[in-house]
Amino acid sequence: MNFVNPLFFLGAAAIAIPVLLHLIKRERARKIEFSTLMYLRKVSRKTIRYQKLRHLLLLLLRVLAFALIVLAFTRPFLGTRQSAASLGRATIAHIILLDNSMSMGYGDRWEEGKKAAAAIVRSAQLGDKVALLEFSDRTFVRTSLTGDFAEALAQIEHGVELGDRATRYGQALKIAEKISLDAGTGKRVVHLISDFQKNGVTGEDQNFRLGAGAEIERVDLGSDEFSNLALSNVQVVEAADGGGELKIKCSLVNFGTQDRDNVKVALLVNGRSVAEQRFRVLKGESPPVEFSLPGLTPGAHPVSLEVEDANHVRDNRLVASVEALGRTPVTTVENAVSRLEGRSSSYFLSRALNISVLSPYELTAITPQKLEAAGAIPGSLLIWNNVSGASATLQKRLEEFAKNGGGLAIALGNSARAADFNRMFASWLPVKMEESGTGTGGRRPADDYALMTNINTTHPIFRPFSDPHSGTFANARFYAYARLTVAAGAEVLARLDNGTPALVAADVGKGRVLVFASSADDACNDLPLKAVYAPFWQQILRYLSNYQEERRWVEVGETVAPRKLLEETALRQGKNVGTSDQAVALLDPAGNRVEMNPGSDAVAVDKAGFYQVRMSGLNAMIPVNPTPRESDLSHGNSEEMVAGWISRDPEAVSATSSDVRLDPEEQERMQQFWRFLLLGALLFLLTEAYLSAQMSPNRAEGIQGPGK
Amino acid sequence: MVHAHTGIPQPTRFIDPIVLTKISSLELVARTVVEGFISGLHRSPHLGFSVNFAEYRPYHQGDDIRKIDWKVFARLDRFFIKEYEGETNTSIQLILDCSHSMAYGSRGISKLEYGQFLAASLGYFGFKQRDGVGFVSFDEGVVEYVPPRGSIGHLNTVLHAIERSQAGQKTNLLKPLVDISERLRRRGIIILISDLLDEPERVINGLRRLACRGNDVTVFQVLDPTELDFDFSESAQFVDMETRAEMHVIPDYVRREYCRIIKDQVAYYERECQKDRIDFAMIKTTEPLDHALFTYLLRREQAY
Repeated sequence: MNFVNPLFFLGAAAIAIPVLLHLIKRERARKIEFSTLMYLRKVSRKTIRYQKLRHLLLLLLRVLAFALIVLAFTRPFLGTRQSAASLGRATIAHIILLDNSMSMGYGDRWEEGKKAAAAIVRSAQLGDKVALLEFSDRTFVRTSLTGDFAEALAQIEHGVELGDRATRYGQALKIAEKISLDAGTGKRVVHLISDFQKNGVTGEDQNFRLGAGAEIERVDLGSDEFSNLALSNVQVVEAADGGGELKIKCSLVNFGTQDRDNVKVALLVNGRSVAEQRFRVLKGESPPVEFSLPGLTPGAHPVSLEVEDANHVRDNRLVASVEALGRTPVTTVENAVSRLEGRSSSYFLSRALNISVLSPYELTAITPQKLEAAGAIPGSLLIWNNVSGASATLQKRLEEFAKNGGGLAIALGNSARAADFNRMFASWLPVKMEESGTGTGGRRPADDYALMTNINTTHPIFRPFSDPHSGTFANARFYAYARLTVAAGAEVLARLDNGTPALVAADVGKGRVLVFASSADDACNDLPLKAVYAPFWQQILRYLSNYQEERRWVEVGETVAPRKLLEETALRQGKNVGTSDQAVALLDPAGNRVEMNPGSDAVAVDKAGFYQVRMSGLNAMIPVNPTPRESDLSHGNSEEMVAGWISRDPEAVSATSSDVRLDPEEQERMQQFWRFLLLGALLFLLTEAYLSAQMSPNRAEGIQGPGK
Repeated sequence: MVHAHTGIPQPTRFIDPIVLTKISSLELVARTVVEGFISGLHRSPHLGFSVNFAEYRPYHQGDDIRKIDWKVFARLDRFFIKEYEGETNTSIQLILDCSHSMAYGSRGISKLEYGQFLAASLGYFGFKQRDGVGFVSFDEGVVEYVPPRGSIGHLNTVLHAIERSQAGQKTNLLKPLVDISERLRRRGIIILISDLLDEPERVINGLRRLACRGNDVTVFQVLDPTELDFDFSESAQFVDMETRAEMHVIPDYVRREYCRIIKDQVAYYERECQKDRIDFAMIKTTEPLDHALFTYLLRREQAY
């Protein structure tokens, strides 16, 4: 129920008139001398009570009549919030854009913003429509254009939510404009409720113009004076001394306009505060913060850094995941070594792969016979290192290992024979070894060697070596090597200078296979003596294990793939990934389940904190940090910003503002209550008049004199 | 002549009591009323006031044998007493209630003033008829007593006594009426002018004491219109003029019941008076005096 003329409610003061008269008449206590009270005393109390009731009834009737008259004048009508002024004027489409980016969490901006939005809805009038959109770098339509203002108010009260995302105006304005066009003709007003953060405007936004006829009303909640401390650019690094100690570093940034003293920054590991430091931060400066991480048990650990700043709490915390790795088992299969031969084929490999405590690999050597006897291939990484021959059983087992997702590296040293290789691998690998190309055995003629010069540096294995001074293979000499014929399905990653493939990659089933045409030790080349040897083999194993560098954290708004992340985690931990059709649950930092699209593994993270990914028996966490630029609360000139988005075509503006009015019949229908109210008031007044006449002094039965 | 309520001159033949209040001489008031009244009676020559008729009743032991009508005895051989035999003059005793409640007046004239005018007019009228006129004023007891006489100079005595009367103490009708009835030696006309605001039983008892001595009693109950209608509009602390007792009254709440009670009261007096052959008339202070006289005499004429 709403009112066309709510101002007439002031007339309700008239209700006080009969009440006042009633009270004044009752309470005046002047004295009247009367001949005798004898007869007055005979008037029964019952009669007085009855009369009192009748007078109260009269009073009630008068008050009701006044109230109904006042109500009739206010012209009430059913429907949502509408007012008289709207009857007969142009309708307006109000599109409310409420900024819910992280910066709105500063002070009481968010509450002020909600109040402003509610005020806009309440000011909307009959025929107007309201849409409510909340935006950050993503725009969400809470209510599309509707005349049901109650729904919009409910959304403002309970629906909208402050987020951790960054501000981006352009996209929100585009969507607002699109929605405003749904209103058809009439005036269109986009209410932009924001703190007008300077860096909320991207280059793309600057070129954006609202369509003709749309206006922007701004509610600027930002201020030029603010104080905000934030942490940014968190990194986990290994200490320079190589002792395996980990350090966590970040920058403490004072975005505010004042210097800050005695700022506390605390390090929390697994939710417990383990260290804290205090800083003096001058405005605009960003001193580095560095903490040593204590010794961690193997596994992933949630680590967070927190700065104490009451002004804007949402950017006070940076989170990261630090994984103290266990060793990934790598099995090297090689022929048994006689004492006369000295070093085993994996002598250099074992040293290259076990170089520090942080190495993710643990190499164990095994003979083909033992491998066959073991029944199953242990782990997920296998190096077929210069093996001269093997049984068909083993061949079959290797094929299954690779096709089921295992990583297999084949190094062809001086013991490798083409017949053996082709028997073992040619049936399921697109690589063949030529008989004639077998290496030169143990001989090392000083001038007969090849160099590995043609390297595909775009491949993940060689990408770390692509930059200048990041390691070269060109000085390694290859005295003996296998001549490989590569068929379709395999990729040559490196060639010797005579064109012979040196490293061939092939995907088999779910697994990967790499064939290195020379030995892994120094029997056929001097690569083990070069600096690139260790990283080269580490890269090979990373590639084979489908390894991706674990990201310590992601930013709010980024897309993550929970299932893939779980699989990677499992792989790093040497666990079996299991079937991929198992359900994956993603929980946000508050512990609420995040809905994921059934067909997609991608989901955007909205909130800062630790997301949890769960699948049966497997857990992983996704540390999510707010966008650093959102912490910079620098206030833009809202007037200029808005002026830049408004269309400058005056003709177009006037062309679209055609009035949409309710037709008179509709107007009358919606506010016809007043007739009934006046009728009611009339009835009350008539009843009052009748009762009043019954009770009037003149009607009291007088006593006639003798002549009457 | 000016109408009491509106102040607009009305061409009426009756005299407004409020106009009479402006006349300082009570004699003049009485004369104005009575002369005007009599001049209005010329078309009704049958009206008379004297009780010069005879009434026969059987002789009882103890009666004065001088009053036995021997002619009747001769005819019927039975003793009959003839009362008021052939008297040409009778005595009129005017009794005016001067209790404090009589001082009440809401329309420019108090009940006492009205009573004084009425008494003076009736007295003058009586003198005109050559009747003896006396006057008694009372409140709790008899205040002034002027025995009835028919001499010319006595009119002034009576009028002066009437003029001197002032509102006094509480009403107690029984005691003064008993007192008066004992003082009266001759039977005659007794005219009581009072508001009768006392316990009804006491009033009636008092009246009976007057009437039982063979007096022809007439009671004028003078009431202010406000006492009848209770047309107060605002609530107030009402103060009893005699007892000074106070009572908070919201007129709207009590009016209806009050009017009923007072109407019942007047009806009760009328009924009881009728039983005892007492003439009763209730007069409002707004009614013209000659109008009251006229209507009263008319009723008496109809009654006899």
